[in-house]
Amino acid sequence: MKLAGKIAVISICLVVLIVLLVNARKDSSPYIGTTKPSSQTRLVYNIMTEPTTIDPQIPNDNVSNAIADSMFDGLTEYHPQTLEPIAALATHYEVNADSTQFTFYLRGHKSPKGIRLPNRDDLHQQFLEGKLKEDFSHGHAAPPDDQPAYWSDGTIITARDFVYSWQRAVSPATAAANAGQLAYIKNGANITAGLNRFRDKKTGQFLHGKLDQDGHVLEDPGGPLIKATTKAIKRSPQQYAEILKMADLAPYTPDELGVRAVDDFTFQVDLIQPTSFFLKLMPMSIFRAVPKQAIEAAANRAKKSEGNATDWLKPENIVVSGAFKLAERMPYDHVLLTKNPRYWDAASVDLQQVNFLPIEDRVTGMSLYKSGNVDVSTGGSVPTSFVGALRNNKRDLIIGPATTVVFYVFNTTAKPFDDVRIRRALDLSVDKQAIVDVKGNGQVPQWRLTPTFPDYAPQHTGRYDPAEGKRLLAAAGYPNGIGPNGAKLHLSITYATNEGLKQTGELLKSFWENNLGIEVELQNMEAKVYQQALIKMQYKGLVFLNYTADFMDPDTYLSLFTSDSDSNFSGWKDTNYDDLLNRANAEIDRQKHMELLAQAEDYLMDSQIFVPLYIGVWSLVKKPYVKGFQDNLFDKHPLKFVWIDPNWQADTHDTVAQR
Amino acid sequence: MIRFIFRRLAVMGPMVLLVLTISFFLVRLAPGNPFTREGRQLPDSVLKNLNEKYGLDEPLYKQYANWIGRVLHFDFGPSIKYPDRNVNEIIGESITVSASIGIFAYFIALLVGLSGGVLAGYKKNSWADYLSSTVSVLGVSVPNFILGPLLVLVFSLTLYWLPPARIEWLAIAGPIDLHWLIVIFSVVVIAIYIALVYLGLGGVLLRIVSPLTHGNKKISYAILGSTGLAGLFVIVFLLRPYLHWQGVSFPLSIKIPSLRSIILPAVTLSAVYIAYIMRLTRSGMVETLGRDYIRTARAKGLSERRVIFVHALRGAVLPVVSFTGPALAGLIGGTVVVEKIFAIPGLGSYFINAAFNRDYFLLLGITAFVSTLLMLMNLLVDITYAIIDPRIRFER
Amino acid sequence: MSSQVKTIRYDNPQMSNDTGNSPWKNAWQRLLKNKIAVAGGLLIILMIVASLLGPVVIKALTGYTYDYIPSDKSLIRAMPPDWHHWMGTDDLGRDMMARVLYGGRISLMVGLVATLISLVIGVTYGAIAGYFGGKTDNIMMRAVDVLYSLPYIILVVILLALFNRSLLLLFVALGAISWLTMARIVRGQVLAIKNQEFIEAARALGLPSSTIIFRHIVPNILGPVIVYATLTVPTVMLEEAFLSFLGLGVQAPLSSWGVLAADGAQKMVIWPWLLIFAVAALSLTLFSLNAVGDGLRDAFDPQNAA
Repeated sequence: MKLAGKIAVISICLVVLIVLLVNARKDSSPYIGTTKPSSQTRLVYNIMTEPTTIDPQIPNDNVSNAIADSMFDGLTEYHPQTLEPIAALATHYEVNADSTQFTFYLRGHKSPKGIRLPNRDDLHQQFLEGKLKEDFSHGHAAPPDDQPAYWSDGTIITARDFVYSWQRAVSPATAAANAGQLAYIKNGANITAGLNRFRDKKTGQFLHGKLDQDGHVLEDPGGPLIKATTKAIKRSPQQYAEILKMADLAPYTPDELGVRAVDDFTFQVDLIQPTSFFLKLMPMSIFRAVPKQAIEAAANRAKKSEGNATDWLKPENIVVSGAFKLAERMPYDHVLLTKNPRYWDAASVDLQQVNFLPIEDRVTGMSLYKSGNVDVSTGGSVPTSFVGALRNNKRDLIIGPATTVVFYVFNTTAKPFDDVRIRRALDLSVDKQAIVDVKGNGQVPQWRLTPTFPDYAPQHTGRYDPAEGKRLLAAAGYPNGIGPNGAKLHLSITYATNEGLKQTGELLKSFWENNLGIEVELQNMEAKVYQQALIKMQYKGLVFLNYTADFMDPDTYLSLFTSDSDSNFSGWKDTNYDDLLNRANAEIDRQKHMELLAQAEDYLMDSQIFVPLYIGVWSLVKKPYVKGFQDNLFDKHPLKFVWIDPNWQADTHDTVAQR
Repeated sequence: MIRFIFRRLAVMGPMVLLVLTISFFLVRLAPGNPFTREGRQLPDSVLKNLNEKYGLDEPLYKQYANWIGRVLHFDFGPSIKYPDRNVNEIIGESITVSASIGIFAYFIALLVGLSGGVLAGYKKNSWADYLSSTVSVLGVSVPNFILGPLLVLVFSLTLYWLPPARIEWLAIAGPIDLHWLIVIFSVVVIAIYIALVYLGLGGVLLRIVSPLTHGNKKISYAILGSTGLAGLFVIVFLLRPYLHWQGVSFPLSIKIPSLRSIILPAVTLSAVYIAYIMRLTRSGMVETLGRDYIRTARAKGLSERRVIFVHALRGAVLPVVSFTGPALAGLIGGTVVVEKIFAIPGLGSYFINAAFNRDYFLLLGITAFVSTLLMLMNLLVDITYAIIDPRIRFER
Repeated sequence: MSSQVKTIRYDNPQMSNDTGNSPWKNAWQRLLKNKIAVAGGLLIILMIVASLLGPVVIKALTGYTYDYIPSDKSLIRAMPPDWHHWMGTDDLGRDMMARVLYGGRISLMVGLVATLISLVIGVTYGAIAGYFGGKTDNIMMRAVDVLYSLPYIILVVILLALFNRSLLLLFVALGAISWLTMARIVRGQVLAIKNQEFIEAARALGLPSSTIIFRHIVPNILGPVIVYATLTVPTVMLEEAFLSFLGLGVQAPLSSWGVLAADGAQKMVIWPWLLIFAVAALSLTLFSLNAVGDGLRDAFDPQNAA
């Protein structure tokens, strides 16, 4: 019959398809695809997303920062494996006794004082001793500390460049996403917030005290400064009418930031309070030096309407301080960097070119990797289904721990989840190990907020105990999940559309429905709608949240749930908790700092305002010939350490033999 | 006819402005803003600075006035998500590749779709018919996010004939790529073929001249008009690096994609359109071949080829024309899925990402571009109607 | 000319209804004689029945449902088809056959209802615009252009913000776009035939416009309408997956063919069975619809009128 003919044709097509797919899966090589480098001096790096901007100071996403960090050096750089700060443009630093003033000595300083930052010269030795997994500096030596570093246009990099850069970073006009990181510096927060003081017209002094509700000035010379944002003044002019009659507005300007150039090569920072982890922030992109000369030239041209103020980021205008320089940029296609010959450490940079590719589709990324068009990919670039299938037989699939904590937060303002027993019951009746096993990427089940840190030991532990969960739920008035009104307890889980989250949601649903007898509804939303629901707390029940650390201190996680946090959408606020954290961060002694933080975390976990699930992993692929590239917690890879070894097969033998 | 075209062109400006006005308020009504994110949110002080930087803190009517004022000067402002680039720049950069792939896919779809459809309709219930219906069924029901990777698997990762993804760029300043000569040649051939098919003209020159000599003004104007438009397009295309308009430059890229690298995306993209065109052509052919005038034509002793390609096809392609107008606009405007699969920096990815990122200015800029294109295409469709079927008149 | 055949057929439909000689009835009889069309129709009915009863039967026989995740941890993984699971299991160990059949409920409903919406609105709108022509046509078609140009994602997101997720909203969102091209096609066809003699004759008889449009014009342009409508069904089913992505559409753990195909595409190299059966279901639907559509078209074709 003719229909049979049609069906025959389509079945043949399907069979061919299946055969093809099955064939594609057979592959006995220990590596994915080709293992011959296409070039000895060029690295092609799949970064998965288009960088928002290559300006180091504006964005705070990992991809944009990766590109910017290759072009701009900071005072310190990330250690390629441990991520501890190592020497970059600064070689030495000093801290005052109460940890409120940092002094950095830059390259070119003839007699630097204080502590010498760990230098990358040791990296090769450490590799030979087996302390490091990769040969990062590859035998090259760094130039002496007293040789100044240069911009790519030939001018010397001085402390004034850092003063300019940091002032730019806090300026409201820059609108840097990470400006909050400079809030530890004197006046930093005031400048970013666009606050004004009021200068008395007669005395010329700033007014202290406060304004009452009708705008009357209650002066109090011993009290705090009266401050207001320009926007607030515009919005309610009556409130400020009286004070503006007696005083002039005095805005905080970027040049009031607590930084100064003591001399050409000495850079000093004043902090508002002791901040134990300040040095660890220094490799972050926002603290890196940007070229005043290029930025101002572009701004001047823009004033004469010859282009845009952002044109300094174009290849023909850019001036860099780092190992690489922008050569070509085609958005959504590639960002090509070439080696900067004026770089202070140019002798140790092996790569002549780095090509960043924003390949959004993971399967496509894998195809390009397989065919040798990509050498290395950023963390999270391997499709989850591939990881399970490849992790045991492909050596170039690399899975390493990340700092991303995945958890689900309760809206504690809505009944019945204002009851801690119900929240605890839900936490107890999820088999987190099972979820992690299904994910199969090496995630670690999690019972608290923070991952492990050295010297950090909170008491809180959790377990999978559905019986106890059931008991708690009954105690809260929901025996077997049935509430007082005879209806099942209804829980909705809100998340942004994402396949992994859908899978997690389906598992959570099955655990909670089977273990507790409650009714679970999954609710996926478009990402921005989800974010809106989260921020305005328009969600009921649980909402998905994940958080990746900025720097290595438990505080980065714990501060999410303080009363004044910008990201606390649980409705749970507790001043005791805020106090504990404040005390911990003012503590210079590391041991005590950690103890106080551990106390804070235990306090937080007692309220169980979220259900932690697991700590994420990075999965990436790296060709065996790419050397000096080590997976690490932040997926930060200073590319100056990376090199390509066409003889990798011989080398692997050697190193294996050595060990 | 000319007055009709001018009237339609004149009304297009206000139409685009209407689209933009509605879209402006729609995108602002949509939940979320450009600055929310996953994980930790930005502090209030930073949000305030960002809103000020992009003028989003002012009242909505004022923002609208500011924005529409810039739009009237063809300045669509900065992208919010990609702050170091402006919208004009982004459209200019991405249109080359989107248009290359879109037009290529369009020609494939027309060529395969029309010939397959004609054959299937002419030999109804033959194996050719079943093959064509199989192809069109698969074309529609195997979505391009499956077809694309499959083609990659076969042609790139197994046979190693074509690159698996990404565009290879050729600088237009350098020697012209041999591939492109082939493309240009084939485009010309295909264009002639389509002209033959569409206009139902036997000998090209003879037939173009003959209506002119018969004094059929409508058709000759239309031909002149469309040739003129095409010529203008070519000139603009060639001069685009040097075009500066009211102080706002359109810095279009001078790189073009290599043919090798756009074959797979274009084929993937064309599958759905092949299916639609083939089915619509087939049904039209079946219908018109049964008509009396075809019998008359055959009775008159006209060759079978002429009967099919001139008389029958002419009556059959009307729905295809209606379909392909908006389709071409869609193809040039970029198609997200194919762009994503093949990592192509086209307009479609920008559009959808702008929507997801709530990148207001970028979204509206692309909307303006695509809607203008769509309206132009629909105008072309209406002109084509009049050419194919002289009974269609455009009364005022 | 051809119009004569038509005038005979369509000029007296009212009368023919009574005599039992109706063109619709004739068409129906012709359709029943067309074996391919009948087979296609039966296949569609079979698929509807399978998607309604299949999950129930599977549950009764094996206990598998679309959302049953095995309690044995070692079974929570993707397994290829075997005698136990004819279509394999997905990465959560759920029976794919139950999921595909259950997904058919939503996909078939969405595909058919949304296509019907697009058919009704598109044909009416396009026919009116084409028939009246001039200013009416101009305004109506420019309105279509405007609707076509608006950012669709944003529209859906706003719809979702204003109303709660529901099946009705899904139909609205899907029907809202798919009628636009249909309207353009219908309008083009109407423009071509409205000046033919049999329409002029009807007009001369003083028949009301609505009668002329729906009794005389629409039946004569059914060919491309049917073809376009059949092709719209799978397109809409796939579109539904995108709307699910935006938060409209089916909600996990429920699934649909579109969503299964979209999810499966990411895993097709590793677990092809997650994809193949959903796509095969889509193809099969379209095959059957094509067969029925071709049959319908032939049945309505005046040339086939015996």
